[in-house]
Amino acid sequence: MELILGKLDDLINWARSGSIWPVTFGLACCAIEMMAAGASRNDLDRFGIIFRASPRQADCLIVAGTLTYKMAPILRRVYDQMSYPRWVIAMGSCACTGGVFRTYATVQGVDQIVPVDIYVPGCPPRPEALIEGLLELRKKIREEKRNWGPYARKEIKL
Amino acid sequence: MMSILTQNQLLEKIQNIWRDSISEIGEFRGQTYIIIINKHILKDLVKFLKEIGFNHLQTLTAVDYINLDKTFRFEVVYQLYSLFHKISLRLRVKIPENEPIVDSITELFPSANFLEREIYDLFGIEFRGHPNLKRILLPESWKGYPLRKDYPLEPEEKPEEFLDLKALNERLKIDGIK
Repeated sequence: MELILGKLDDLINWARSGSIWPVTFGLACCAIEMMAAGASRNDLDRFGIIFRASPRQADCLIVAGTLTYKMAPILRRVYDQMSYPRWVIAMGSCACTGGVFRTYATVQGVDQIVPVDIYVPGCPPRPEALIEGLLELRKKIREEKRNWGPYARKEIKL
Repeated sequence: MMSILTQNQLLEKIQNIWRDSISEIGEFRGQTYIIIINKHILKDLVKFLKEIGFNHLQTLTAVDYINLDKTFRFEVVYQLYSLFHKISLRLRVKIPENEPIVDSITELFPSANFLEREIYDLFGIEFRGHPNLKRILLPESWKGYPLRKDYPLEPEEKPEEFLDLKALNERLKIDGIK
């Protein structure tokens, strides 16, 4: 039984890691690098990574740029609109820790608002760095266990 | 058709009417400025200038002179330009800290609407007679005025919406829900 479930895990994780569909959440200059990573030279499509404009169709949220307190509820709403399973990449220094913007208006790290899986440092990170981060996310997805069906179901008490 | 005034003629006209309210008329790098210490004359002066041919409000901003000017902490700066006379004029209106209120000029220059709201948002200077004076950049629940020099770098008090989200995120993390 364990063997069958393990093989099923492998199959599901293989399918998920081969088709990460990120929702575009570009907030600052990092978004330009994210676009460059998606365009023909670096070509994220070869990893099965296709940008979606709707959070309903996506399973990965790339937070690219500086998050302000005014924008924070909107980020959380976009995250909440995504269906399970879902992952978050914090792209750039600002998204990871607030970066140079240690001010009254900037959230000091998006991990205060949403659970972050991969942190990509850099200001802004080069497209290669973002690809590295997405490959790390792929590795992380491949190592998941029982993240499907009744095993993944959890009651949310609000 | 009125005649084209030179800058000196214009300044003389202004000085004749508002001599007591003006503390200084000077020039800085080729730009003429007038420092006004009695803020109540501002609207009349702008109205006079508009009627005389100043038809362009180039900018409207404010300065915080904390520790530099003890009696008048703030200064609201109006940069006016006349396309007719080809004269550019800067009005610097001194505002005391205990009464940060000045008359709105939105009636005369509609473009002042958003600029006055911005100053209200970031400096906390009120504009009396403004049609819609509320915050323009920051969330409406924001406390304090960030461009004042005594505003802390990172205030201890965070916006309430953010604190709610943070609490939600931490609770979900404890429950192990992504």
